[in-house]
Amino acid sequence: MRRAARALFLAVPLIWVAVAHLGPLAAMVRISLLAVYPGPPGATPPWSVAAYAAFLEGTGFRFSLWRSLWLAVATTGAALLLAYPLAYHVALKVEPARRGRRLALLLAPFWTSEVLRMFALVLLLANRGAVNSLLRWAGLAPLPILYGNGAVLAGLLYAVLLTMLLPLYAALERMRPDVLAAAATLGARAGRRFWQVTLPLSASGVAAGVVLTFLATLGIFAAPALLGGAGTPVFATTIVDMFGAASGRWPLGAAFGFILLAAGTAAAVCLGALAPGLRRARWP
Amino acid sequence: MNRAGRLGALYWAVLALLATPLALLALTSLSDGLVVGYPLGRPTLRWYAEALADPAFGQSFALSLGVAASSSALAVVAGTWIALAAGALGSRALRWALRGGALLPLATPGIVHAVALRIAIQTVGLDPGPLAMVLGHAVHATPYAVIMVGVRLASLPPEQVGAAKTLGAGPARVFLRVVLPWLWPALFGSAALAALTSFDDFIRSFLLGGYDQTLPVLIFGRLRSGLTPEINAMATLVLLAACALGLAADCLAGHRRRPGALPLDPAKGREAL
Repeated sequence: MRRAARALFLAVPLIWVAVAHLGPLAAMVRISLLAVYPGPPGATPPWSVAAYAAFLEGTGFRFSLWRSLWLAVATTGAALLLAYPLAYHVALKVEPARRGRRLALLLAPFWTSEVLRMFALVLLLANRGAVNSLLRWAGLAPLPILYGNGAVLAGLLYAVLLTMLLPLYAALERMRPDVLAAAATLGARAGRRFWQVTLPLSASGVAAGVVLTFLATLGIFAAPALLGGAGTPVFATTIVDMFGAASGRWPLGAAFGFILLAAGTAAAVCLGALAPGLRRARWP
Repeated sequence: MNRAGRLGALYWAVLALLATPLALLALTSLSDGLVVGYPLGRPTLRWYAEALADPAFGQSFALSLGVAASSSALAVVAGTWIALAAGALGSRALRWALRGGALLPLATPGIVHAVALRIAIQTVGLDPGPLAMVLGHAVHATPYAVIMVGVRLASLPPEQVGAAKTLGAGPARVFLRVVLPWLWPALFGSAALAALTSFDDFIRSFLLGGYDQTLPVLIFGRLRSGLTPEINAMATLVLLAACALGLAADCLAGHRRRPGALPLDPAKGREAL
């Protein structure tokens, strides 16, 4: 009885994770290898790699994946450059008693939905938005920012900055400030202290932040859908188009989902592999 | 200015940069102009009256709250169970597989996860709708609960469990009287975080909701068909609701820092037996 209860206690989460966490991804791969889906009732559609062939044939699909990847690289880089000094400031320069409050303040804008943050950016960047109204008021020509690459990049950054901030903060907060004092006593100047002490000690946070931010950026649909235009397709919008009521090209959408997951994971692993290099950084 | 001062200035500048768009969103909703934009007209609450009178807004609000509450409860139960089992599993490979599998939704790009969930519900014959959203949001939030509960569980003093066992408590009683009270802060914190994640979620709701629209999906759809002052007011109301949820989550997560319940108090120990 006791043994049966224990087996059940351990089996339920294993089965739940297999079904609810791995199951959907397995179902996606299965559909991507079917010729049609949903097929005619009763019959099993034949297997086919047509969806993957379609990706390799059309230049449009590859182009949108390529755009997604470089937008994600640019967003991740910008997020790292912006989030690192912020995380450093809160984790090491703010006194411990006020640290929680300072961090919460920085996280508060991310309490709202991605859609609302994009809406707010539309109001900021639109032709009659705040930025262009200021430019007009100053007697300058308004800028067509919205629906371009710059707007999509700003939107992606606004969507994922938090994902970068938290792992960096967690890594920097574990660092003991005395090691910096020790390095200073031993004669290391600011640049050397950063490259040879702070950065190596926060390498795990940088790696986690970069990998998670990169993957999160690839998965964002609202930013390109609301801030991008016809000239700026990304893979997320391409995938969603396949599931529209009118198109219904599910195997294609499933295959693209898998391609995005595979390409994203491969790229993220490569980016994460740079972390040990940071740990051994040397100041010339 | 010295370097620390420059960093501090950067902090406040970025904070202002992050908050300004949201503040302007709220500000424009108070203008009486028929077109959203600048220059602003005279202040009015007319658009709020129209937003609140819109039946779709009320329906979406109720749906969003319902899905957030149910999916958060499910995620906390699943996450706690996973964290407990991962601590109790004997096999190292299984433990690793369970932890890795549990965190998988965290590393899957949102669009891929949403598409996979959409296909999964189709495969098992579940129609898009509230139930599909509850399940999808719960899976999305489970990793957060696994992490928060796992961290809290790791700090549980083992002598408390040992003492309870020595005093004759079975596994169920140890769980209810020792482990659960210790976990409360993490449970509340992850429940609030899961509810906020669900309330804010867009892409999963968009693909799993069918004709049932949560607030972000409703606002996304309206935005695509044109910017009106009414959506602006709706968005501001949703912004305020998310802020309230976020504040609640922040307060509850803040409790984590306090030492846990159940001190080894002899009087309480006797009562527990």
